[in-house]
Amino acid sequence: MTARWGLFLLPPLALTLLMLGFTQFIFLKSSVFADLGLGETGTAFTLENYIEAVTDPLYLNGMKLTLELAIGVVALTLVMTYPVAYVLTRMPARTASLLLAAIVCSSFVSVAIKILGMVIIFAGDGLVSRFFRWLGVIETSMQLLGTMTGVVFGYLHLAIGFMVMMLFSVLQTIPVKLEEAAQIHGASRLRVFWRVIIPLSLPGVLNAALIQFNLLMGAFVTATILGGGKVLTFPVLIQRTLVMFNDYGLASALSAVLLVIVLIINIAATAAVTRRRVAA
Amino acid sequence: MSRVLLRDVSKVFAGTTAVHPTTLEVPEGHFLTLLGPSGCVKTTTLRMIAGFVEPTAGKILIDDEDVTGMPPQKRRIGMVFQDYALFPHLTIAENIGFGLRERRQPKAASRARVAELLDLIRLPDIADRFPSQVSGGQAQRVALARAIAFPPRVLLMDEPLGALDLKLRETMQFELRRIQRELGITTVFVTHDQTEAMNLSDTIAVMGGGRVLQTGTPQQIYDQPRSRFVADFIGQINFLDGNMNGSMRLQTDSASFRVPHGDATTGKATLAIRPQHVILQNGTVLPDEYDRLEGTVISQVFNGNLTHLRVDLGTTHWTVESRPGTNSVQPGQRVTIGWHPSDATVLTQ
Repeated sequence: MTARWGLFLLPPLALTLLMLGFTQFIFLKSSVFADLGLGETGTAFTLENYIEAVTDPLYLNGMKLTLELAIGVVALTLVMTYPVAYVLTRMPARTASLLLAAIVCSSFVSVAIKILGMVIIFAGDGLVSRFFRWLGVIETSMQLLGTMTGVVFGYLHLAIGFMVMMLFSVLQTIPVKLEEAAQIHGASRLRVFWRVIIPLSLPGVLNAALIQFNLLMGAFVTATILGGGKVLTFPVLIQRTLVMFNDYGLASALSAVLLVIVLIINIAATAAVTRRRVAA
Repeated sequence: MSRVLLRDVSKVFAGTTAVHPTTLEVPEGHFLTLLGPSGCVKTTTLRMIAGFVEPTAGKILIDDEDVTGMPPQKRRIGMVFQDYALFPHLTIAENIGFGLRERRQPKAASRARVAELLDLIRLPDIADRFPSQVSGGQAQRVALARAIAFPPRVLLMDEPLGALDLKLRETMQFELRRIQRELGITTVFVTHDQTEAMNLSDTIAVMGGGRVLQTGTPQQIYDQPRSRFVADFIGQINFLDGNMNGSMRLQTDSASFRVPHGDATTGKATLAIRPQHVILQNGTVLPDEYDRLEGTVISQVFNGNLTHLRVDLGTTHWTVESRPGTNSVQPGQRVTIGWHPSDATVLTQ
């Protein structure tokens, strides 16, 4: 019986492979052929696209910037959302679900609308600039568009709601009883956090961080629009190579490099977490 | 070891009084049990001693020190939780040593103390295991060891045996009592199981409806219940409602019954008597001084060494104990039951 039911899974699998796997394969295949210009690729096997992708300082710096940005934003997001998620799990269930619903609703708004909204308030004479001028923090106008700071804010804005939801589900699994047990046996609130809540949530937190990291490594809408062409992250470089220069071979090689690097980081991180769990 | 005193402690949750003003004393080294049905806020009372719940009014004193408003970690209390609440990411040894580490005890001394406790709970070989790798009974003992590792002034236990099966529960009651006696720790224990309370306690405080109804030794609570609630909650008992007319007799619609000496009250009252004090007149002749009632046997349940009979007395049903073999009766049979007036208790509450 089980075997026969399993057959129903074959069509979706085939469809998935065709739509995702096959198209990726077609695209990635062009990475081993030379670019002839105007979107044409040669037919002789060559590794020159890969050599360019891993030696050209433009791409190396792009990768460095992307990694720094992704890791930095994930770290900032964690610091900002962990306490929020914790407080939510320890609230009366009604209030917590109301607040979580609000966060979920905010994530229904499409990325493009959120980012374009930010373009308006981040502009030289936008809301943010005027607010800080009113506070007296700055004298003239504050330029966030086309800067690293602007992009970081954009990423944070997208990441925070998502991260609160993921961490909420992680922290929710830690029983309050354990906190009480720690407290009654001498641990202060801070020590309870350090010795009970953080170690117990660590595997879940690492998973959430990894998901967020992967999303940021591939994100380019935010960097493209808020960065205004001045913040060249790896996905932005791939997009430019593809759309502006029509170098399909190089763009494909760059994509492959990004894919492999993200994959290696994921495998390494997962292995580290698994080893910890086996040790435990 | 220390004395615990609750002085007029009460708790109001969102406008509803959960715990009515309660005064309770646990003398040094005593084992006190808060006994009551679920929802009678015995756990809330325990959590107020622990410091997880702040009383709305009143004071909690440990050794004459006012601990009201003091955070739990400063109270020097040990606690065993209902489902043990062992830390799943720490080994058994680390769990037991948790309080020692938080109180910054020297490492070598802590290690020795943990080993000593593992011996005390008779589980010297599980130090390096994780809580998920030990049985329920072992986890229970580990939770106890953790609670007493850094000698607490008071040990609190919230239904610690509730999750164990009957056989293990009985063994653990014995273990608990042994360890508590050996160390002489002042203990407050919460349970809804009256047998457990009887087996373990020096003093039982029976709680119901948010207040302590009666405090006394297990014997006192059993033999001299002061209210119908307490009498009914502790063991099996039979009731007969009537009126006291000041002449030391309880008057029902059809007859009057003698009550123990000293009860010369008037007004509504209930006569209460334990099943083992009621004798079935069947082959045996009831002595003259016995009061008697007639009824119909409804059912009988064989319990090993004795049989419980349910007898319909018209206005109420009674349970009567009889040894098997001596009285053989059938459901539907008319019987006469009798008791000695001095075995009865009169309840006016």
